[in-house]
Amino acid sequence: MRKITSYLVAFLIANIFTTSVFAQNVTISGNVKNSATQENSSAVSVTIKGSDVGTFTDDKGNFSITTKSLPTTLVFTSVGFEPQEVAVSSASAKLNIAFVPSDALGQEVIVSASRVPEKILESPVSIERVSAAALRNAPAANFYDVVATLKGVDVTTSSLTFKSPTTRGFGGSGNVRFNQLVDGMDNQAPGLNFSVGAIIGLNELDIDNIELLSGASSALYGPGGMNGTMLMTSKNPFKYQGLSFVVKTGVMHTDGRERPTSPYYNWALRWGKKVSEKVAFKITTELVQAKDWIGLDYRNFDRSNGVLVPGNRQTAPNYDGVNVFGDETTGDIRPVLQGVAAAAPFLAPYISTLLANPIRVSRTGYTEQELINPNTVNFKLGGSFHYKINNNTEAVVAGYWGTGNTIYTGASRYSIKDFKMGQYKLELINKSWMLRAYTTQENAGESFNLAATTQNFNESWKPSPGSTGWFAQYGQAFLNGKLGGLSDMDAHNGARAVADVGRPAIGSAAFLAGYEKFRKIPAPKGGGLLDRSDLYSVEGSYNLSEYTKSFADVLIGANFRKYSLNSQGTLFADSMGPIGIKEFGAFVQASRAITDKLKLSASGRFDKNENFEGRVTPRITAVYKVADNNNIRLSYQTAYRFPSTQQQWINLDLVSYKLIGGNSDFINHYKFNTNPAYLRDELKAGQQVKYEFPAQKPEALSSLELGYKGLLMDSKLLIDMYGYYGNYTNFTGRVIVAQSRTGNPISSADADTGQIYSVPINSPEKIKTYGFGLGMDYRLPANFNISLNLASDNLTDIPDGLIASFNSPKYKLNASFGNNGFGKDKRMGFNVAYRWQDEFFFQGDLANGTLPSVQTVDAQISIKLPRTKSIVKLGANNLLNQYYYNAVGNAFVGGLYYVSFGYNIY
Amino acid sequence: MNSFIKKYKSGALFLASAIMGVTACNKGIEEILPVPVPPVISSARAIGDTLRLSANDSLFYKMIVRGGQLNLLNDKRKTFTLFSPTNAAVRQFISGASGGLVPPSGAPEAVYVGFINSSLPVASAASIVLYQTLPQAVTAAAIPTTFPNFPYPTLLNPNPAASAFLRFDGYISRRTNGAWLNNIPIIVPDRLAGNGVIHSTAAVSVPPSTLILDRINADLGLTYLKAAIQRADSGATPGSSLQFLLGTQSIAPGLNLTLFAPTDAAFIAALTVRATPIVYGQIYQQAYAAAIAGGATPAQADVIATNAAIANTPAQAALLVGSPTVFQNPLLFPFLTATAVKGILVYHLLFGQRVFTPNLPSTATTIRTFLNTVVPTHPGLIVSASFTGPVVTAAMVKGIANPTASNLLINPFPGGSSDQHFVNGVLHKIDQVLFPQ
Repeated sequence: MRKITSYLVAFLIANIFTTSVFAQNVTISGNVKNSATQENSSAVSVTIKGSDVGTFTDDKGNFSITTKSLPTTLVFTSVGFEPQEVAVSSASAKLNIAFVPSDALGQEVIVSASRVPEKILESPVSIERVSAAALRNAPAANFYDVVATLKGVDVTTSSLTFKSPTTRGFGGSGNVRFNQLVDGMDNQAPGLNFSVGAIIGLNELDIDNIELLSGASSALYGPGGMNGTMLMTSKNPFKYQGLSFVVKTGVMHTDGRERPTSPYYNWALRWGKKVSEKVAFKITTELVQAKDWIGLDYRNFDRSNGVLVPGNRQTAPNYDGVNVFGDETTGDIRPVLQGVAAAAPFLAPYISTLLANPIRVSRTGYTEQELINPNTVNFKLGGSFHYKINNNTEAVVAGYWGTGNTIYTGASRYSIKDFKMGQYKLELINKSWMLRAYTTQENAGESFNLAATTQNFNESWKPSPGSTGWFAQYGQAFLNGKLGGLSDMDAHNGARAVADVGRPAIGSAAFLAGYEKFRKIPAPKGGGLLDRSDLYSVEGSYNLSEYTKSFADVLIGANFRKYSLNSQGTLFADSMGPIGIKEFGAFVQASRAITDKLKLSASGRFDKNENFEGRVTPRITAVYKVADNNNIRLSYQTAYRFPSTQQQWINLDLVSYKLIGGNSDFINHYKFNTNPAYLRDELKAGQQVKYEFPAQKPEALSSLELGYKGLLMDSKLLIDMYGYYGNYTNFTGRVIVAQSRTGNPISSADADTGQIYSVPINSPEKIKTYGFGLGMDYRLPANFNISLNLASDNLTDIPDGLIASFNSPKYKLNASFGNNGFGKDKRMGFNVAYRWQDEFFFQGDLANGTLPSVQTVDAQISIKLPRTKSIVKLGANNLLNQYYYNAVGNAFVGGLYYVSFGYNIY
Repeated sequence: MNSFIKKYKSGALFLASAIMGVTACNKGIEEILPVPVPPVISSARAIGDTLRLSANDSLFYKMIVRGGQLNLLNDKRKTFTLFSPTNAAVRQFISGASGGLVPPSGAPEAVYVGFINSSLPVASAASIVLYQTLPQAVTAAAIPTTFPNFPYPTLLNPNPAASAFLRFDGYISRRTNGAWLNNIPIIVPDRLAGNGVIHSTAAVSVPPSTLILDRINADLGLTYLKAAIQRADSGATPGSSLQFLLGTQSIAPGLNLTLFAPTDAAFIAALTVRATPIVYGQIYQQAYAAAIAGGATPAQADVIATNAAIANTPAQAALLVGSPTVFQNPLLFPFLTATAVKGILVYHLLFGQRVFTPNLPSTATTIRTFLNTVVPTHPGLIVSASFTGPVVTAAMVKGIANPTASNLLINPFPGGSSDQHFVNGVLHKIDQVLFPQ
């Protein structure tokens, strides 16, 4: 092994320091302008035809390139422009290039589909791409909202800055089936196993492009990409230079429904500098400040049965509001009544009439609106240093750091407060290979679980148990009310008023001091989340095509990853110390053009997690060119997902039940060997079905997909369509089991009164998924364009009792109409985007329920100011302020209206 | 600029109207918020107002007003069951309360109203009303049929300062031939009101204020019972004595005792039977000894002693048992041991059950007594009652060792003899002592 390693190092060093020697003695300089608007065109690729030598125009459209001799030919290319070749015979005069905009569709080059550049029309799998230009003309204030308009994409909005995209199902705030990569780095929070939205990562000014692979993609990107992978690529400072900034100011809550109208600020800045032909750097930063959307779902959730039930605080004694916290603490007051009966026998017969069924009551909670600081602040700082070791090899040191407040929906609502996460990488990129090492450092800051915090706070001002505790006071007052002739509900409400004597009022000094105290105390005694988990990753790939091109293009790669889970017992079962999890993977891909029309590729990936057996995931694709710019694609892909860190190790007491991982250590920890657990639903039905805690297995998905992408109607119409069918094996869901609290043999009563656990389970049955997508882009005259896409995702054959959390509408539709250049000098632009999604039943750890269908309209109108290289945009997210929510318990999202001033945005 | 506006105006307007058209309202916050459920307030008249307008409840209505309970009984956020005595019943009550000054019937209405408004203490009126009011609505059909009755807390708290939970119970029962509050028949059930139900009753139910032992101690017809209790308690610790059980206020609420109280005549009869052999023997021995001392032969002495015993025993026995002090007479101590007397007395006592005569079964039925707490296998007592409609006309209780059944002395008897209601139970006078063996 050591010998192999030394060979590899020598090989890489040889590659890095193999430099070509040029007689660099002629420098050509010039300027590139948009022929239609006369704006300087920045970031235009300028290369010397037939060589590796190239540069980019700077933010003023200027370029300077050195060649060894004249005459030569310069090639100018940029997305959105016609490629242009210019013969240069003299370097004495400055070249002025009139760069002609192109409205040709489908010309983008994508990388992620095969990990090598290829035209998007020839992609072997379904892929969506968002360019910087598309972001520039999009109405959305946040680029995640642009992603939501892509075909087949669902975005779950937990709060203003926490948006979680997915494809082909399994939406939710914490989506562990969808990878998000930023410049090749998996930007999941290691402790959470999913991306924390926009808190860290790129700011909008620094996004070069976003590529989104729908469906199974782990054959190339590793376990986790069961449902897709989104790759965000930042702007290279060699290409994108100069100072750019955008100042976005807006208003939210304009109807005062959630809170008084409040401002929205989003300031972003990027500065890219090419110091020399070898050295460049960039610095990016962004600040978002607003008053967040709020979870206002006050419906009553029956946690023991996982269903929404009628009632509110005034009509349901055991009310547990979805966005109300502290009311998760529940108890049966019958023991209190029985105590009274024993002490007052003259009441015993009457009391006995009240005891037929449990009288469960919940403690009085506080609403999310009352508990959470409305201020959302998100600050991001990033930068990179690039050094070109030679024309073929570039070294990059980069870091992205972010901190902020946001709200996340998991088993509770979590206030992610002063959360900090940094990603730091060292990367070597060669035209044939890549080597990258990075780490993700997570610090949950002062994040806290609203339910746990409020429950513990409630216990502090009046303990629940005891002869003078809250439930005792409640029970006695309830009985007193009944003895006074009150109805059940009036007696309950009167009892609550008695038991709540001393309850700190919102905003009172007692509330502020107490709540502040308990949100900082780590769970379970408080609500604090002490996640300090880290991720370390090393990965590399090599394109062997120069050696293998006679029979195929071959790409190989490998990665090693280590998680270090460290929540100090507040999230994981790691109170004894951090838990380490190691993963290893390697892949190989070979592709070959069989004929002019048919290109085949095959890839395979092997992954091994120290807690699970290794697994190979193959992918086979074929692209058949039916005509120029018209291709049919067929792929068979498999995906593989190790249970997430939470599915392995979470250990969270949610009072009404415990959310635990599937690691076998939990069997001993909770003594399931000696005090078995039983399927709760079966218990309720009178059957005792013991749960055996089978060994946890990774989940696999095999997916067959057929698609077509092509240009029609004189290349004015781009059609993209796909259909897929897949089978999940060992699908990981959750199941609810009950255990006797006393150790006595289980009884049907334990279904309600026993200790309830939510346990990960692999479904023994295959679960089917299928769906389709259809997208159309049409270029109308005068630069108008119209887009329409429709997608459908389905999951079937779900076994009874399995909580699949598919969480995807059966149908969703996006339509947009826009123009990125009209009016005088084509300075004006506008875009209107409409989205509709069907209603569906949402399953989450916080609550379940039917989500109604949602319609939103985003719109923007903009004007360019060429003299100042700036653009002013007036935009609206959710223009009609039609509040919607896309997960039970999530924030209600209303309209955001903004005006932005952007400088040097390209 | 104008041309620009003109050029794009219609398109923009079309776009705007299209947006407005396609985006119907999302189901927003309002749709998912729980719909507040307003409290259900009946439009029907409340109990108080119902009585106000009822001719046959006018007197009890006056008592409600006198007691200050009208607002309570008109409170539609609460639900009650009111046992409302008819005017005839209230007149009967007033007659009794006035010591006979007011006749039970026939006097002008103003006389009864005047008594209520002037002579009936407010606290008494309030207590009576509260005692006849149950929290929650209990229709006749909902009254349990279980033996003997269902103790349902009333609104009357005898000592609110001590505990908000203190309540006098009302003992409601139902059989095929009627329903009762304590021993009072419900004559018109289920008069539904906006905040509950009214049951018209045949008598005013007055809350008890004394204990069973108070009655025993004060009743000149129960002097033997009193003496027997004292005999039974001799040597007992205070906490385990019958006097403690029957006469302690602090444990009275909810104690629910039923005492079949043998009258003095019953005790005398029983004691006479038990004392006669002893007296006979004592006279015989004395006469025999005297005859021998006088020179009689044993055979002659036997004849003399036998004759003397036959002649004198009844009178001597009657003299011996003629006073409650009989329980203190050492002559009878071998027979009337404290344990034996207690064993007999607890056989007369039902513990945890306040049995009013209408609660008795119409066919002979065995019931357990306090004796069963010590002798669980004892067969208990046999009880039964005869009814005319809801009214008990006769009732009996039979001890297992008694050759015949004892009769309950069904009212009216002077001072009351059946269904005598006390804070800690109910007392029925009977005409035999019950023997468990």
